[in-house]
Amino acid sequence: MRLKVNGKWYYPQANPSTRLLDYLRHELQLTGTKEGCGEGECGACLVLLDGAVVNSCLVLLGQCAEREVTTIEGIDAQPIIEAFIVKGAIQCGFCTPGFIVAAYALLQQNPNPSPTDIKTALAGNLCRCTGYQKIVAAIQVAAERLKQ
Amino acid sequence: MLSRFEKQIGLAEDSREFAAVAAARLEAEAKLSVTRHYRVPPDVVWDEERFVGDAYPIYSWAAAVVEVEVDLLTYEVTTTHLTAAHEIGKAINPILVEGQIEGGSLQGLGYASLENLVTTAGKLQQTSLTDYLIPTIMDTPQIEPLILEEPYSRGPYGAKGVGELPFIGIAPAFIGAVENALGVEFYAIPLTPEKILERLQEVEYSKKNKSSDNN
Repeated sequence: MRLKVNGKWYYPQANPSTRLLDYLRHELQLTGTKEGCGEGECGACLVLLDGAVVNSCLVLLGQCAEREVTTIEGIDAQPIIEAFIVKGAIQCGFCTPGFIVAAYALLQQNPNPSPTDIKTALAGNLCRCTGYQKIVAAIQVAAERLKQ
Repeated sequence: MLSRFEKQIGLAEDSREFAAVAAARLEAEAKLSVTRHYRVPPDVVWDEERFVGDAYPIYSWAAAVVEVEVDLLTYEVTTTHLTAAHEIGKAINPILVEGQIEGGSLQGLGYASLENLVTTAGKLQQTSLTDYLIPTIMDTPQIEPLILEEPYSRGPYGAKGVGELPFIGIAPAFIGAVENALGVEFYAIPLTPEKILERLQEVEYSKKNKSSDNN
């Protein structure tokens, strides 16, 4: 079997029941994707599978055959990251890659999201430190910048 | 952005210029750093070995206002607005301080309304985020952080501190708001709809007993 990760084909030898999260972090050393709860509650491990947001802790490697995985390392996240910094949307930072992947996927589909659109898109991401408000503001700034 | 820096640095002409330059660079480069050093004044003494001295020579102060709506059918409580004012001496990084206030306030709101942590024989019954719910972005009201500055002479650039402080006042304010809405006192957190129902039934029951005693 083979899968594409961040634009490059890989032919994993790992057991197909390996969690995609573990394959990315341990085999490919793509440690930008974080493990929070490991049960699909927190969204710290979000990646894109054929462009759709998934919790990589709930996806098995075997399910990714002939498919395309994109991690935080593989997306053009810079405008979103800069907006997060300017708006102070980061406190401890552990949840941040998951939020940025979710925000990226949202902005791909909807370049003009309302605050409600943003909240709905981020409903699967938990953050313990920020209170979410500055994250919403940052994504609004990123959306503005990406339009220019 | 500019007004924030003006507020932080002061309104003198030259500092307003500095604030404009700083804001422009932050907007352009998304990063800005300044390195300064602070030494604890010799009269603030704390002996880590013997636990003697004055570890907390000053306090920061905070006030919280929580506004709620209670559904009288389901007893679900929706927080519609949260205001948190913090007097912390000096906000060295105001954006980060606001973030601390917003995050701590939301954590306090979870503690007050949602986060049920039960132990049985010393063992936590909520062992995962499936059982232990914390507020999501959908549960978050508008949070209004207010920073008040009264510089403290012994702290770095007048700062006292902010950290755990935003958490503390929220649960009492939340309970107070629900009490105000329903006219009944509550004695436990998290104040879940189940606990509201139980308490209202208890109050109803004791009222009935009293009225039947009088008869």
